[in-house]
Amino acid sequence: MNKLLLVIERDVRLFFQYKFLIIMRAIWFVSQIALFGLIASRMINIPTQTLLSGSVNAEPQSPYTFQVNATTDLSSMLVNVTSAAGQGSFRILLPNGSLAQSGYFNSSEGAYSFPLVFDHPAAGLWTVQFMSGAAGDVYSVTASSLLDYFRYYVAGLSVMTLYSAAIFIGFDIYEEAEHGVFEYLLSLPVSRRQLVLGRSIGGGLRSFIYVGPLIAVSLYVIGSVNALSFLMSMIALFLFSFGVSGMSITLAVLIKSSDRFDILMGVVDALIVRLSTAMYPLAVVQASNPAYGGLASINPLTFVADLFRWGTGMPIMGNPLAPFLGIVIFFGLFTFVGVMLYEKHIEGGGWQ
Amino acid sequence: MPPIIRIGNLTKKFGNQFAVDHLNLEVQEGEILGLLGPNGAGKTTTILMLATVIKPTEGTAYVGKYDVRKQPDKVRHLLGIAFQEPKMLWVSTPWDVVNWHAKVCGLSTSERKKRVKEVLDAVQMWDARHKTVHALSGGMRKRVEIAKVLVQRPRIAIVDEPTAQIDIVGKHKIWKMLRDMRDEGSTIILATNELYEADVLSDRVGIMHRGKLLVCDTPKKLKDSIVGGDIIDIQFEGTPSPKAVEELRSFKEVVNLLQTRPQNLRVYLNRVEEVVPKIMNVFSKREIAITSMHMSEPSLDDVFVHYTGLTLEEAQKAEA
Repeated sequence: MNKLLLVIERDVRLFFQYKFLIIMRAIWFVSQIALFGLIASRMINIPTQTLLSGSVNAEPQSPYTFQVNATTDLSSMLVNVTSAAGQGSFRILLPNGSLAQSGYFNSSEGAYSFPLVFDHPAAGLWTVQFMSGAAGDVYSVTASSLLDYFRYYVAGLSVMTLYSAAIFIGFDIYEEAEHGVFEYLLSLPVSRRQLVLGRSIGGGLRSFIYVGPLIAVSLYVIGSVNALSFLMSMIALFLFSFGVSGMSITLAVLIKSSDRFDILMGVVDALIVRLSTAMYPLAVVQASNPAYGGLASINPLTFVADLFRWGTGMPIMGNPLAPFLGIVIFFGLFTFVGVMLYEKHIEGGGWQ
Repeated sequence: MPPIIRIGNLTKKFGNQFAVDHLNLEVQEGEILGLLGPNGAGKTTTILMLATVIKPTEGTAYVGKYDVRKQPDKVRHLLGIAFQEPKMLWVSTPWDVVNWHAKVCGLSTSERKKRVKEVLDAVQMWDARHKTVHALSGGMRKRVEIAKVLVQRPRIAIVDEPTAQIDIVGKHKIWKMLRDMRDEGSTIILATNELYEADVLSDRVGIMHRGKLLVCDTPKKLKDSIVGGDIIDIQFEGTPSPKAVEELRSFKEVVNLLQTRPQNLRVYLNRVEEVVPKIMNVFSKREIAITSMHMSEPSLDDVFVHYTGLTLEEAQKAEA
C-alpha cells in the first residue's frame, strides 16, 4: 500500500514540475472562458430569453395551444400562468408529438410559475397546451429555457480540461521510455500491479488536483450549487479522470510509438470531445446527424459533462443515474482492464 | 557458502539476434564481479534480466533463492541498480530522484534524510541538489544515478559503467564507496568496458563478447592464464653467458626467451613475481652485472585479446 502511494505521489509531483505546461493550460482555460465562451454565448442563441409569451381569453373546456420553436436543445422550461381564478391542467409535447410533461396548476392566488425539466431534450417545434376549467380566464404564458450557453460552455470546458490533463500520462510514458526511466521504474522493489495501478491513479488524481482551481473558477462563473448533487458530480469527475488516465496508458502501451500516439490522441480527442455535449447540447448534435447524436449519447465525456452541469444546478437532466453508471463502467473498463493490459505489456520487456 | 546469484543458460534474443547467448555464471556473496566487454557484448542485457526488467528468452537466474522468471517481485527486493545512462526526467532534481528512490526502497524517514545528505555530499551533488536535471552536466547526472544505489545499500548492487563521464577524482571516490559497500556485505556486479576499473575494483572478472561469457576468474588468474604473458626486459653490462641464458630457459615458468641485442634479453614467462628472485639468483651466482630490468604484466586488454583475438577497442568498433 505504501509503495502504491509512493508511485502515486511520484506521478502527482512530476506533473506539477511541468510548470510551463500548467501555466499555459491555465491561461488557455481562462482565455477560453473570457474569449470563446463570451463570444459564443452571444452567437449560440439558447436561452435565458423568453421563447414564447401570450395571453388568451379562455373559453370553458377548450385547450389552448401555444407553440415554441426551440432552435436548440430545450431541456428545460419556465412556465408562468396568470389567471383571475384559474386552475387546470397542462401538457407539453415534444417536437415529435410525444408527451414530455403533464400536470396541474392552480393560479387562484395570483401569478403562478413552475420550472420544468425534460428527460428527452430536443430542438424543434414544441407544443404547450392548457386546459382551462373556467370561462373568461386570462392566461399569460412564458416559456423559456433555463439554460444559459455561457454557463453551459464553462462547465463543459472544465470537463474538457480534465480530459486533456488526464491524457497527459500517456505522453509521460513515452517521455519516460525515451529517457529510460521506464526501465528504472521496472527495476524498483515495487510489484508490477502496484506500479501500474499507482500510475493510473496518479495520472487521474493529478489531473483532478490540477483541474480543482479551474473548477472553482467555473463555479464562480456558473453560480448556483446544490451540495449533494455537486458531490455526486465531483465523484463522477474523479472516476472519469481515472478512466481517461487508464485509457491513455493503455493506448500508449499498445501503440509503442510516441508519434503514432500523438496522432491517435488527436483523433480520439476529436471524436471524444466533438462528439459529446462538452460544447453543445445533445439535441444540437442529434439535429445535425442522428448517428452523431447516437454516438454522443454514449460518450463518457457527455455523461461527465452533463453530470457536472447537473451538479452545479443546471437543469440539464432529470435522472443522473444512467450517466453516472456510464462513468462507472468507463472507469472500471480502463482502470482495471487497462491496468491488466499494461501489466501484461510491460512485463518481460514487451514495451521495448 | 552457496552463490548468491546462479545464472544457468541465460539467453535473450531480439529477433534472430542473440543479445545474451546461454550464459552460465555464479556470483559469490560479498564479491565484486566485473563484467568486462565492449558495448554490445551483452552486459547490460544480462543486468536487465537479473533486475527482472526484461524476461529471458531461455534459461533463468536465481537471485538469492528466487527465480527471476517466477518470483520477480522478490528478486527486486534484493537488488539495486545504477544504470549506464542516468534514468531521470529533465524536470526532476537530484534531491527528488535520490529521496524518492530511498523512500521506495523502504528507508525510514530519519535514516533516509541522513543517508540522502551523506550520499549527495559524497558524490558532490549536495550543492546542486535542487537544480533540475537539464541543468546538470553528463557527469553530474551519472553521479546522481550512482547515488541511488549508494543510498539504497542493497544486498546485491548492480552498477553499469558507474564512472563513465566522471573525472578521475570522482572515479576514485565512487570506487571507494563501492568497495565500502562490498565490505559492509553487499555483492556488487560491475559492468564496465574500462579495463582499469575492472582490474582495480573487481574480485573476479567475467569477459563477455557477442553475448557469450568467455572466461571468469580473478584478474590475476586471468592474466596468468596467458602463457608467457609476463615480460621481463633485462639489460646487461656485457653480453650474458650462454649458460646463464640456458639456465633461465630451463625455468618452467619461462615460455620464451629472445636476445634482442647482444646486451639485451627479453623473457616471456608466467608468474613474474615468483620467478624474479630465481632469475636474480642466477645472475648473482654467475656474477653477471645488469644495468636495468623492466617487468610488465599483461593487462586485461591482453586477456581480452587472448580470448577474442581483438583488442577491446577493436571489438567496440566491430560492434558499432
